[in-house]
Amino acid sequence: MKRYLRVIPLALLLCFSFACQDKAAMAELEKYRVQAAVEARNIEIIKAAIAEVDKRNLEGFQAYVAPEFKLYAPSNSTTPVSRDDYMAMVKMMTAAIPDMVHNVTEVFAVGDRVVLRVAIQGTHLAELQGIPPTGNKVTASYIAIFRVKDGKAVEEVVEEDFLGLYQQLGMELKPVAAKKK
Amino acid sequence: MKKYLGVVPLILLFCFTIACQDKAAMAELEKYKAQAKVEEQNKQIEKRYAEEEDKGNILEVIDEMVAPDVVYHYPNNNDERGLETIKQNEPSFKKAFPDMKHTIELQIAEGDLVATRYKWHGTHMGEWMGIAPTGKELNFTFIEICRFSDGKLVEAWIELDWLGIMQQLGMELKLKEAKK
Repeated sequence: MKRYLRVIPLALLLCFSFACQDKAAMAELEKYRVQAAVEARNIEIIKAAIAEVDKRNLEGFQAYVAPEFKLYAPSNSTTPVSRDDYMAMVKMMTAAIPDMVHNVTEVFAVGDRVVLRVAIQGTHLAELQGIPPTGNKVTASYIAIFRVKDGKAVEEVVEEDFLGLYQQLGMELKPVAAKKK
Repeated sequence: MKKYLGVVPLILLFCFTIACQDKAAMAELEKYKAQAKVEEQNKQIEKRYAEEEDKGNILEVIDEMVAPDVVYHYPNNNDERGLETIKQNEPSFKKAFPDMKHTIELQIAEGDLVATRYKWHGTHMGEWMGIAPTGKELNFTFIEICRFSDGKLVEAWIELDWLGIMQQLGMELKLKEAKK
């Protein structure tokens, strides 16, 4: 009888060995799951920030964008735009293009970064940067890479084609300074 | 004695139950790991593409990396459709900018998408987009989002500031169609 009793601890030992091997794998799985959850949340934060701009709710926008936020457009810009300056730019753009909206066409997130391809569109109804209103429907797309920290956007890097946009606004290619978005 | 023997199968059953719960978790872990591997592969393909372009060797290897029905989306709704079209257009960059160089500043991948932020420079030594060689150093940055399928590029969205580029090449006073 004692012989058979000894089998039980051996069987338990065997089971625990399997369970312990799995613990490392489970820890790895948890890591992936946690990262996926953070990335999904970061995407929601950036989408929410963009939605606030479309709603013209600049207070709501600030909830998703840190005070120290910097926008680099294009990405090698040496004069990044602050959060306040960005909000001023939005006011200027929407004064001229009142129905301006963003449409996110591609989005994904890795770690603390969120990548989006965005199409903006609207109607040019009032003067913009000295350009008289054309009544044209304008559309432009850009790619932005955001960095998110503690639930807020802290950095945005943008590449956008301004030539196409100015052409739609009825401009010929003249010596105009490449305006940041 | 038989009573104690009876406990052993119960214990084994218990262990198998726990092991089976883990099987679903293991499958999930495998999925994450497999995806990470594909993401890394896709990043490498993109990296290699840029290197081969810089070497002037891209046409030799492009079939390995790009699907035949690929589409490149350029700004302002300019698209290049199909690998044959792209092969025709590819040599012009290297010919016009013989010392062209891509530098990858950032590359991130998820699923079948890779986003790459590039720095680009080259000296304008040959005709390009109707612009006679200026000898100027062209520097710009761009971001590309690439979609891969089964180890090949199937779609790419390229965003860059054409206005800045045209200005660097001294084209301030002419209207130029944003092509390619």
